[in-house]
Amino acid sequence: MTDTVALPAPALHLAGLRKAFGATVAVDGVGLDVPAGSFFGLVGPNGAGKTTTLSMAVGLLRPDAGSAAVYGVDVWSDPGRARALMGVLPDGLSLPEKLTGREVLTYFGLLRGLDGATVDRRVDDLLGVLDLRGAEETAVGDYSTGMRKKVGVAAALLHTPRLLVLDEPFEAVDPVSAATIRTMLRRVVDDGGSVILSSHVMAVVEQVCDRVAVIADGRVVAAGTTDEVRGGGTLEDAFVALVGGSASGADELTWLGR
Amino acid sequence: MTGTLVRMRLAVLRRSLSGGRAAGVALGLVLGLGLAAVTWWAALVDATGGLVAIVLLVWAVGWAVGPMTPIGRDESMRPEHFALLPIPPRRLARGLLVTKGVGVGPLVTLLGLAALVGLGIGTGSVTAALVAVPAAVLQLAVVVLVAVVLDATIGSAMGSRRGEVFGLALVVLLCAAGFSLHYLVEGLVPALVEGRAAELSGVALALPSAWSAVAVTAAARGDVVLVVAPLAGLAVLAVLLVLAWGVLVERRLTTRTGHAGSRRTGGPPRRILPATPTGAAAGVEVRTWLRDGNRRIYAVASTAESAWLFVVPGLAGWVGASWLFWVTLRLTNAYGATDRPGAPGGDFWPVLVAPGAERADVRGRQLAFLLVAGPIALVLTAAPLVAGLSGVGDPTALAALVAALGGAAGLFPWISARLPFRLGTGGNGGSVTAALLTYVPAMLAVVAPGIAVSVVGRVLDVPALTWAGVAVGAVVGVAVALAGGAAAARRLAATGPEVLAAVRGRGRAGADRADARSVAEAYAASTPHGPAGIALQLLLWVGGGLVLVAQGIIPAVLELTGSATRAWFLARYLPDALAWIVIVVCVVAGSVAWVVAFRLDQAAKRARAARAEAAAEPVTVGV
Repeated sequence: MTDTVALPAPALHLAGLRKAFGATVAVDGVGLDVPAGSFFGLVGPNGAGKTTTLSMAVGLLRPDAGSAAVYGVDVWSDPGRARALMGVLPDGLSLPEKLTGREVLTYFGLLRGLDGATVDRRVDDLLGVLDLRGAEETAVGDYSTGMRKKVGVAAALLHTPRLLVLDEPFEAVDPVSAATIRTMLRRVVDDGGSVILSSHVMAVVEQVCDRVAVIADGRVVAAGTTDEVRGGGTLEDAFVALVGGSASGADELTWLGR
Repeated sequence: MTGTLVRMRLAVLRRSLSGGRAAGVALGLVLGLGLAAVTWWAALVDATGGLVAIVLLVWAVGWAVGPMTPIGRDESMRPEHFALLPIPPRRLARGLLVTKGVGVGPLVTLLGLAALVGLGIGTGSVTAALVAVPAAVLQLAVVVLVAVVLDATIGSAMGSRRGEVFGLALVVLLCAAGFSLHYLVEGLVPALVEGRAAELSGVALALPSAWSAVAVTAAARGDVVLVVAPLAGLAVLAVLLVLAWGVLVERRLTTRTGHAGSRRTGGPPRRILPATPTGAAAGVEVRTWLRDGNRRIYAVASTAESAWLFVVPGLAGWVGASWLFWVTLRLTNAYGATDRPGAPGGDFWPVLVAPGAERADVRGRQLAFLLVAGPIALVLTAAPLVAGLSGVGDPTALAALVAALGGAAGLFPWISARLPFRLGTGGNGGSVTAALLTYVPAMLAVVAPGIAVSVVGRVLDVPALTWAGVAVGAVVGVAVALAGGAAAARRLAATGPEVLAAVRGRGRAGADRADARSVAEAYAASTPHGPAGIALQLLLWVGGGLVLVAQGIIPAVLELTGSATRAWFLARYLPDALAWIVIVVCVVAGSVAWVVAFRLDQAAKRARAARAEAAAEPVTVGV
């Protein structure tokens, strides 16, 4: 543990990640450094390869080539140590459908080897903060998408990881809960942890992230501090310019206007 | 629109004929063709139509029950898929109905029902043969329509709580019917062969499933009323069913069904299991067993099946054989466990992000299986003993029990880690079949030593040895559970992401589906004939064995020794000369099946060797 702390290793280091599904290359040589202590946003259009990249970064999807390391610990050669450092919210969040939110979180905590009393206390705190107490007796299978997302975020936070990897944490979450989640993530970063999240919503990324990478067609097309990437304008303008999508392309659909 | 739907249906069919699904289709095809052959035989043997009527009833029941079985389940084109298109529900219903007639099933059924023409020719009347043509078509329509409407009623009812109860009752009923199979084999088949089942034939002829046969035989007699009335009846029935289907589709499109099994859950957190990673993993499983409606259905059904298969033969005086029934039952039961909780589901990802959780996950699932299945199995073993049915709960059964429990606990996580598949979607049929094909022989091997020692003790009349079988069974069971779990954990640690990709649920990008497919394909590719080939081989081995040993060699021995035992040996119900012909035919047919199976296996080995050689070639172009 001490050696990783001593080294100035980035919180997350991705190098040459590549993944092809059949003939489709989803991720094509992605390299990224998430500096320790940063709040990192990964943005890109639908199908750009964000989820595939994050899945490979946390060990849920085996890359065809390239490597991923968390605070210098290789995700694929030393999964035990790497997993202990990370909290993960994956895409397409599947949960044990017949368990209540509390039971799901307890399961996550115990599976990670936390002791029973600690798990109980933290789960109770998280359920309270995320306003999930009202659904205490409901199985997560009957939760709304936003509630499931909150359970997923809580599960990622339970073991106080040093790096949070969150795929679309704000999707379908109501504004109040989203603000709560933002505050919690900010707190993690302020306490020396690191966060990388993906999102479609430029305003959110612009507001909370100090660093941004833009990914398109499976490649990183821009990366740096949020200010660097957006230049003088908004992140949204920069994004549209970068991914080459013509926002004006909609003009061609003349039949849309009656 | 109907044309487009039929083209869609054909595309679905084409896909189902390649890859994993093919094994299920092949199995259905074999069953269907077998029944078609039986239909022709029945039509040609018995010109009164009595035998055909009974076989037609089997067709109808098969069609009614088929869609509820994993092999027959087809959700590829549901009305909901087209709900947002501006097509009136009635028109959509008609279009979908046409697609139901497209497929291997209706084709094979038509092949079987064409036997009605044979029945007509058998009566020596041209009119009867001609009447048989519309009769067969009408009968096919009614049989398919009944299946479609039943599936739609129960399928939509299954979504609600009431439907769950109904499904439960239905499954219990079917299981109860299943156990009586041996009475059927023992009593009915010989009676049919000897033409002593007039009442049954009479009942079967009165049912709509055989109205076509009634019309054909009536045509031969020149009885116009009995030609027209049954055919008209079938036509009216068909029209009513079409109308019912329209109503069902309309209702299905306009109302939402509730979530099955959603209810107030839990209360304050209770901690029965230890607060450890393994305890947590077991807790998820046990809770799911207690709360999931589908699993409840499964548990009740398999328990009912157990009770029937186990107790009834004992009551019927088959005391010595009942433990054998019991072993078979444990095999299928525990396989069911691999099918449901054994396989990691889409919610397997937490295991892959927690350090070293693979081992805890496997051990937890094993623990949960033993907690759920163990007590049920113990009660089933002890109850007959308590009830004074000696011989049912004797040491041999106990030896089988402990070995089977341990074996299942060890094998299911191992197989589900080696051959992961997606649950409840009907996809990846190849992996399901492959898992079953691995599981059953492996379980037989696990229970064999304990049973063997116990049986030897029984034969030699050495009680100590009989009980030693229990110890042997326990040792083998524990060893398999430990080793299987360890191997499964290692496998998951090495190939976790691949397993996750294979079991991931719907709603994912095509990318993950491609991965899931490639796992099934990889397995199929490892055997040159694919899953269908394995299924065929297994069918040949088992079927050939049954025919050769059970219907050939054993009856021959009984015949020679002058024994009076008839049981389910066909030859024992026939006059001597005929009996020997049947025995010789069975021996030859069984042997041929085994030879073919053996040659298939050899061919598979050669192909594997050739491919390995090709892979070793230094220069390969375009591979």
